[in-house]
Amino acid sequence: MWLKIIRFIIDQYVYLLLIFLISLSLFILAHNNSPQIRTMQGEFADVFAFLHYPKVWVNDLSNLVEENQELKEENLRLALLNAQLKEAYLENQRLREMMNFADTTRLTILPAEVISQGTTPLYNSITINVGRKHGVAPNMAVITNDGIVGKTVSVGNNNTLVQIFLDVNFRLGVKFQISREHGIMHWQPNGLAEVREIPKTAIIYPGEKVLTSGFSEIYPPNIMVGEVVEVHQSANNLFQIATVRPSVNINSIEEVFVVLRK
Amino acid sequence: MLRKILLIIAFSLVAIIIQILFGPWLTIRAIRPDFLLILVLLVGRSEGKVVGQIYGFIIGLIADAIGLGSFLGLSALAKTIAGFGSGSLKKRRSRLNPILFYGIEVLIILIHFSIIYLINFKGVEITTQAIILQYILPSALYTGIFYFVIQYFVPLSLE
Repeated sequence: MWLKIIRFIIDQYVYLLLIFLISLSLFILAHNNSPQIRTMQGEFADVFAFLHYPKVWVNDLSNLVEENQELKEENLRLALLNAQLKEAYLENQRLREMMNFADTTRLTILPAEVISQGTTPLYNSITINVGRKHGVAPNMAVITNDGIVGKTVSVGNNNTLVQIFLDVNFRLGVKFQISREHGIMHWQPNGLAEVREIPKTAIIYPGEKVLTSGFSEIYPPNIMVGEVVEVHQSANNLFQIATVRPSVNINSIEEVFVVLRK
Repeated sequence: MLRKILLIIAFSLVAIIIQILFGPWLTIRAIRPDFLLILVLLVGRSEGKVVGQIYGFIIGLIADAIGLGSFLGLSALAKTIAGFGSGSLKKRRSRLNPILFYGIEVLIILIHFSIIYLINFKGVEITTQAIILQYILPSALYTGIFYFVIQYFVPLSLE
């Protein structure tokens, strides 16, 4: 009996190995969101961080990198201030009597360099060169001066994997700057996004800016997300759907900022 | 043997670095060539089913972990199957009709991308037809073009 089993294993080891590897892959796939797998992924990213060095070297060829980074950081602060001022103007119009309006965009941010945009055709994340050592933790917002990029997912000591908004599973609470409507943004495989279930009575303008709502514990309020491309009726004709073009071109980002504290 | 292992490791490092460095530049409408799949196909058809599938699994897992292509384990799954399929072609290049030989390789590439995209878009409001037309076929074509160019330079040293 045992001999038969051993002979079977020896004869069919190629196929048994295939079944084992497929099963192992499926097991890892099924446990993707478990904290252990996420932690392991963060550590793994640290170990293989050296593979990203050539890209970092290429990026660092220019002597202006550091100065550029500082300027971009300053630019981000100014962009945030600008968005804040626009928000303040609109809010003042609506609530003229209100005074001592609180400043909500003083963010503690950490500049970081994008060292990888994924190695497979479907990249839903980027790797940045800051990690636990720098104060980064999972579920921190990642932004550029153009707007939202994503959130931190797996954090290693020196590197962090960031889930970017192109991920079809990414959800973001947003508001429309003029109409003040709120909604949940779903990213579409075509690179655009949709905000569904907007009441029919709401008037949304094409070109209207879309900002983070501030209801999330991850994303600060009033960060640029994109602008409305078009508005159409839902299939059941009960709601409106706004199609939004993201403000950040993910293919061209080289530096980002991690929001350490809202 | 040791020389061959070192050669495969060196090729893997080069492929990963090329993917990281040039992948974003070669991206057309979110479609980019998969140089790691190309290497899996080359190693598989050079070394056979066992090495092909083990190599596919390891390189897929590394790719998932360092770049978070999508879900951890997804590339490992797709590349294990690709490595196995490609390994079935070992030493058959001269025995098989070239059209059949390359047809099988195209089929392997298509299966690889079908696994990746169909699992990745599971639960997303996009039709299977759209996934095939917008993602699977363009990715397979793009990677296939690079594969058929690269294989003229690389496989001879591996086989």
